Amino acid sequence: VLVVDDDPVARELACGVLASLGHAVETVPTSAAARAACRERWFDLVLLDLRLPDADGLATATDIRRGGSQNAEVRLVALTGGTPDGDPTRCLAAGMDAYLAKPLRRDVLGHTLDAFFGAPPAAGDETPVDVGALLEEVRGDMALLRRLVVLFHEQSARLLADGRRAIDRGDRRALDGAAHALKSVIGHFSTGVPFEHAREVEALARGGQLGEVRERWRLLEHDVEAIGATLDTLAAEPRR
Amino acid sequence: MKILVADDDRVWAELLKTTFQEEGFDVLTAFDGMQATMHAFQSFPDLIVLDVQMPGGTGLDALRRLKMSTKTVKIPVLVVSGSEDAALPGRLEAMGAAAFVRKPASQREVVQAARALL
Repeated sequence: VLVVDDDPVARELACGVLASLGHAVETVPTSAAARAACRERWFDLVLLDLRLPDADGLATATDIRRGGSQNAEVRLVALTGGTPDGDPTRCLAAGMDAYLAKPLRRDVLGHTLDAFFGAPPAAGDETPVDVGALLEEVRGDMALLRRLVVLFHEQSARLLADGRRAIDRGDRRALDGAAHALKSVIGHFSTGVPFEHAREVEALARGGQLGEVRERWRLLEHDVEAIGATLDTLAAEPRR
Repeated sequence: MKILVADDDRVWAELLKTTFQEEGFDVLTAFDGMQATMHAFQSFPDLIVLDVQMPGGTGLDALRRLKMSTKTVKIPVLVVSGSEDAALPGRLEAMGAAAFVRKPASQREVVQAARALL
């Protein structure tokens, strides 16, 4: 999320609220900095104060929309302090998706985000993909991300099948190869639980513990499925 | 400048390919040792980025073949591997590899190492 506001207190508040909702936040104080950030990086959401020192929020919104940047379709939310240019019709005409009154309230922002992106996963449901790291790795290049997602599906399906065949045949060498390669593929998208599973399986395979591996392989199949589902969501075209 | 990236990890290969392309290189990819050797003999790249652990003939087999032929012996080979074998870099050097980068590494690090060889 990118927060654009010249008021440091408002920025801090927005940061706190967004962080408590589990989002990664970047803040900038000016319209120029916001436009620069939008040219360089990919955001899910931009919260835009309507009164900025160097340009008004509406013009900034129009600029971000028309900039031909990767953020042309980003969700834009106006932050209004009850000013006349906080008029909803003008906000929408300038390309905003929503407008919220300041001071920002956690529950209101939460509802707005849910409306945009769907309800967050239930507490305790760790996301299987390091989304932040992945977006950084592809540097906001969504076409590259989509290619990687296709490769993930192809590679993981092939390696899971190879591994399963190797387990059934008792072929340690083939199992070792499949487990090692699967760990690499998973490692590009997850350093959390799924990657740990893959590492354990690789170690077990290397140690020739086929019985143990058989059990763990099933876990890994679930992990791969979860990663795949998350990646599909991430790579989907932005919803309008 | 033409680079051949040979790695069975296709996600890594795609990331590396994209980074090299952003830096203005032409990039070919191969996903096993045999394919890597074939590409090298067909298109004579300016540099080869080679993984060690690959199916279909390991990176070591590919390196050996490349260094045996007068047509490919001069192509610098940058080996990238996640192997923890401490003796590997020395062995690669003896086999004629130009440089070694240990994984995990960023694509930028590999591109930098490649640039240093060109």
